[in-house]
Amino acid sequence: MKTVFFLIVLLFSAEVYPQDIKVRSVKRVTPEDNGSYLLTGVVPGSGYLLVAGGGYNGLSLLDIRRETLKPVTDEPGAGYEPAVTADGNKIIYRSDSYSDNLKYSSVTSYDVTTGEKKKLVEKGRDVLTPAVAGNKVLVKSEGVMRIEQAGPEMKSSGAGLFLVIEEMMPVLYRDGERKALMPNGDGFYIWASLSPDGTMILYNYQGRGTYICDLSGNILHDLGRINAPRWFNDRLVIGMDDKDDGHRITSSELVYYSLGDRKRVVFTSTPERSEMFPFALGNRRIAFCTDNGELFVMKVRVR
Amino acid sequence: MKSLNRALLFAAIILLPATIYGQRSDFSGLRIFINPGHGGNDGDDRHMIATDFWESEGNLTKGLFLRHLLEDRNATVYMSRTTNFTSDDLPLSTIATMANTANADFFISIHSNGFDGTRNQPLVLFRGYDNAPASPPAKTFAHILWAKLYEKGNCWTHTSEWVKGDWTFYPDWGTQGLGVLRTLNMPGVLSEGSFHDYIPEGWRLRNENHLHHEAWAMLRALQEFYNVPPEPSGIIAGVVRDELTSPPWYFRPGTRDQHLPINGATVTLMPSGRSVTLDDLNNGFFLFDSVPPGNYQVIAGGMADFYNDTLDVEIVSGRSTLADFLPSFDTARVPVVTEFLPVTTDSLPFNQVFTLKFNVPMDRAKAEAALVLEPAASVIREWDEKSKILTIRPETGFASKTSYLIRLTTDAASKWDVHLIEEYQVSFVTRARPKLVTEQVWPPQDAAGITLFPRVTLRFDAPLDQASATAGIRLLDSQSAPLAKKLEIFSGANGKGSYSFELTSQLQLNSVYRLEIDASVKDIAGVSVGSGAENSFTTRTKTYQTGNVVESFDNIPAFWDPEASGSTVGTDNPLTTFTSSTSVIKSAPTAGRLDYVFTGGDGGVCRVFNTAKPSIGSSTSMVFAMWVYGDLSYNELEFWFYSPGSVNQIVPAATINWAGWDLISIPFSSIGGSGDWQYHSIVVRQTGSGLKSGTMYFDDAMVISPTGIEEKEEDAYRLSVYPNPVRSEGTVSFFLQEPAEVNVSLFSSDGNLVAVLFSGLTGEGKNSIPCYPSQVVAPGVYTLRLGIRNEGETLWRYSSRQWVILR
Repeated sequence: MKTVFFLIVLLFSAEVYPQDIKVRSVKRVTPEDNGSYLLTGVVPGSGYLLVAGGGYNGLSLLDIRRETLKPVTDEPGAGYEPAVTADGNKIIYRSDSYSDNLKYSSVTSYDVTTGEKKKLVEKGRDVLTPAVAGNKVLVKSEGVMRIEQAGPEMKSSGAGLFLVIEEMMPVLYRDGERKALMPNGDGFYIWASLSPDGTMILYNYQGRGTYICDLSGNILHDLGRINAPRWFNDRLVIGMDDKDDGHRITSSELVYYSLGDRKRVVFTSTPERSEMFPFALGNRRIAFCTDNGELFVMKVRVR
Repeated sequence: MKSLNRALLFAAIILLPATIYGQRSDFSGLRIFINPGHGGNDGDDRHMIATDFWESEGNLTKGLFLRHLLEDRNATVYMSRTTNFTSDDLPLSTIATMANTANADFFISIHSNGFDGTRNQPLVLFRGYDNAPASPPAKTFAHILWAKLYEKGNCWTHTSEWVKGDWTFYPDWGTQGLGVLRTLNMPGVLSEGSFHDYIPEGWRLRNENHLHHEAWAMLRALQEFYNVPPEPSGIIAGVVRDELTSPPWYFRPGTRDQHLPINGATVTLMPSGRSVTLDDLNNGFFLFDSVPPGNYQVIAGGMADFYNDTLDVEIVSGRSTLADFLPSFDTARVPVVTEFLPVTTDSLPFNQVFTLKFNVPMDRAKAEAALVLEPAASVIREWDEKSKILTIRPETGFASKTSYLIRLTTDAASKWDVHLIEEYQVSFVTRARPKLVTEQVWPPQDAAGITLFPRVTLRFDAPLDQASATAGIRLLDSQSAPLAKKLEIFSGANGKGSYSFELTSQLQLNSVYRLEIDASVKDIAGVSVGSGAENSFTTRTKTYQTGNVVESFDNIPAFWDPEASGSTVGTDNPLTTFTSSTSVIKSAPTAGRLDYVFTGGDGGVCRVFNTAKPSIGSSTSMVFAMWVYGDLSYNELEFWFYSPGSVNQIVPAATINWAGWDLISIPFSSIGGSGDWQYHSIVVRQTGSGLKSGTMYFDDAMVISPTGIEEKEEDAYRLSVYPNPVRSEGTVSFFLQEPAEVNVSLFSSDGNLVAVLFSGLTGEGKNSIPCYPSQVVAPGVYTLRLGIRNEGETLWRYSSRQWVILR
């Protein structure tokens, strides 16, 4: 009994203690077509990366072991902020088309197993990128919001909570209720995402800094300069520290922020390679791309 | 049948807008993202020294005005920044993400361009290759925008369309391309509206209306692209220039920029009565926008020396009408002397120079003929370019203690033959002049560390009698043997004279030399120095280092003429040149020769850009050195470098207080930034006390290994200076075995003592002396010398370090 108690205490301690990330190895993933890609997401519980061409045009699944590509679509804009259901079986993406040089968008659901596509939102002018909570999908077009079940019902705590950006500010939807947040006041909010446990919001404010707030908009953490921030887990955020000369990217390193000890750490040092747009791939790997469109998977040790 | 016709007519009326015009009435529902490039007057911002133009400011002014125009026409506009602080300089990835988050229909990044200072034309870039755009609509818009930018100006140096894919334009970047376009999920372009380093355009970019004009061009492009009707009104814009005067800065010959813009004129649009007063920023630019179509008169007035001028113009809706003024000079004005210098006319020196300033250009021959000196004196008459300033300088000097009268009779006439109404007179008295005064001798008395290749230079208050100087001035070695001279030069300017020479062989290390001046040395008027004099100096103690030559100055065409650099300002255009020298060299076959003439009293910048931009590596323990033939001008020498990303790093190298060849070095640690540096420019920066003209030579720029550093470690004293370079407070540290008398002094590169930082007794062990060198000396490279004299000893022991002092 003592041993069980001790293990429980140890596990609990591990949860609240600071965490840090150390790089163990880095491997390049070369798509079969040797193409240049942007990393735009990962499919949970699978060996797939979501990749897109320049300008987020098109969307493909890249099998990191076989380095094979499985095209989802070649539509413009489809690679921008695609959403994946918790069971990893559905990819929901917004794609764009132009008429009279005006941008029109639609939202489509793609079944990873069958390759079947289903149009969730028809072509319209003001279409949000889709948001996912569990296996539910929120879509919004020209002011009309709709939630669709895209897989088996899940009972997890965050399953009914959606985060989108509307009018440049984070907006929460839960049970049909809409709650707009402006933790830093009026302005441009980008790169917003919910923590895996659904209790915190990560975002960047006007390019000036990255923050974490609670669901009421109270700022909990000032992360400093971390661009393209993503949750690694509930205690760690990863992102990039990219630099440029006003015209081109001159360098970029990966950086993490530990919520436990409120510490920002640049954890790569690769002057020969600009590492950008990282995503957690499970709890021991990070995928990222470079400014030249190369893709990498990094094994990390998290303590 | 009638009813069918009616129905068809009705249908035609209903469908007419969509089928024939197919136009929107305005930008309602459209989302445009504007990115004013750079930000914050620092970091990667571009600053043009010549015009004090900051690209971040110009981009923002254009962007804010474009937003105003678009919002007035019901567009939804997002901007990446609306202010200009360091924090506004957002990462490119962030800017693109903001545009993506806004779900914009179109993205415009606003910039201005820079290259070599000789080019001015719009450039519009889209993502992809020229013939394979990542977004075809972006390329379509780029063509439209280029045309709109081009048609709103008439001062372009190149006329062909310049629309490029960024992958084609930047082949070295592969398909990385422009960072701000790479991750956009909508069509976007980067617009380089004009070239800010082409100085005439740089001045125009300081004018808010000129920047607004570019925003109007962008609006017109968006109207065409989105099929929005063009403006029902038009714009009239132009420049007021002085046809008789060329600008003192670079301009493309044959363009409108060959005439100097007129500051402060008033331009009025009739019949509307709208009026604008031109700024004083050397652009002469005016603009009236939102003018209904029709015929107008534009009147330029309020110019001191010019007649009012009127142009008839036609305003066309949706376009700019360009109307430039070249107003006629007021030829009927009666000439008068508006200024005579010097103000004081009593007890003037024998070589006093006088200037008469006129209100109008003069007929030079008539004015010179009308100039009478009583008693008669032989003088030289010189005119400025506009024939408005007459300079009178004595040929051999005015007589001692004599009263003179200068008369300008009514025979003097303007360029248009209008005579003075009454004679102008002014009298002056010269003071006694008992002897020829030696004003400067270089190397100076007791100087140490003098180069082994000096040009011995003496300056006097009058032009010398050459024979007496050649025979009566000599350099003696430590055995009092005279050294053979070569390349003797006599020169005179502003009534003064100088004599300089080199030696046929190099001097010896760490040796004392004496410069003798005989009492018989005299000026051209026969006035002698009166008594003999001598100066002694000591040469440097260490041999010169050698290293890896990164620039041999053997390919001078790789260097730009100074005026083309974009940073050069305040120089006389044709007289400032960088050419090849075969007669004065440090290593064969050639050296670079810089002839420069500054036109103002202070603040001139003469930059020689090296297109080869040799890489010098990244090791902070290395030294960059160059053989420089100084001209004793007391201007400042700078070396300019690029750190990665073409970020300019300026390093003060030395005050030019030596004559002849010397090796001028700076530690890599004094270069800002990090990573692989490239050396790219030599700059002579004019100081208030510096000469306004001179000639310098440059040879063999080298990277020297730290193992060859001249200043060897004196282990016994463990002398160190920190930080190096130093901006404000620094520390000099050393170690003493026993208490001693200590002297810490700074010496300039020509060996002159410039500051004593500490003098007194110190104890044994480690000593650290805080000091503030930048408060007592000008920025530059100095030798810090530590002098130690132990108790009971008469001998001083020395150790030294080079210290780069910044401000």
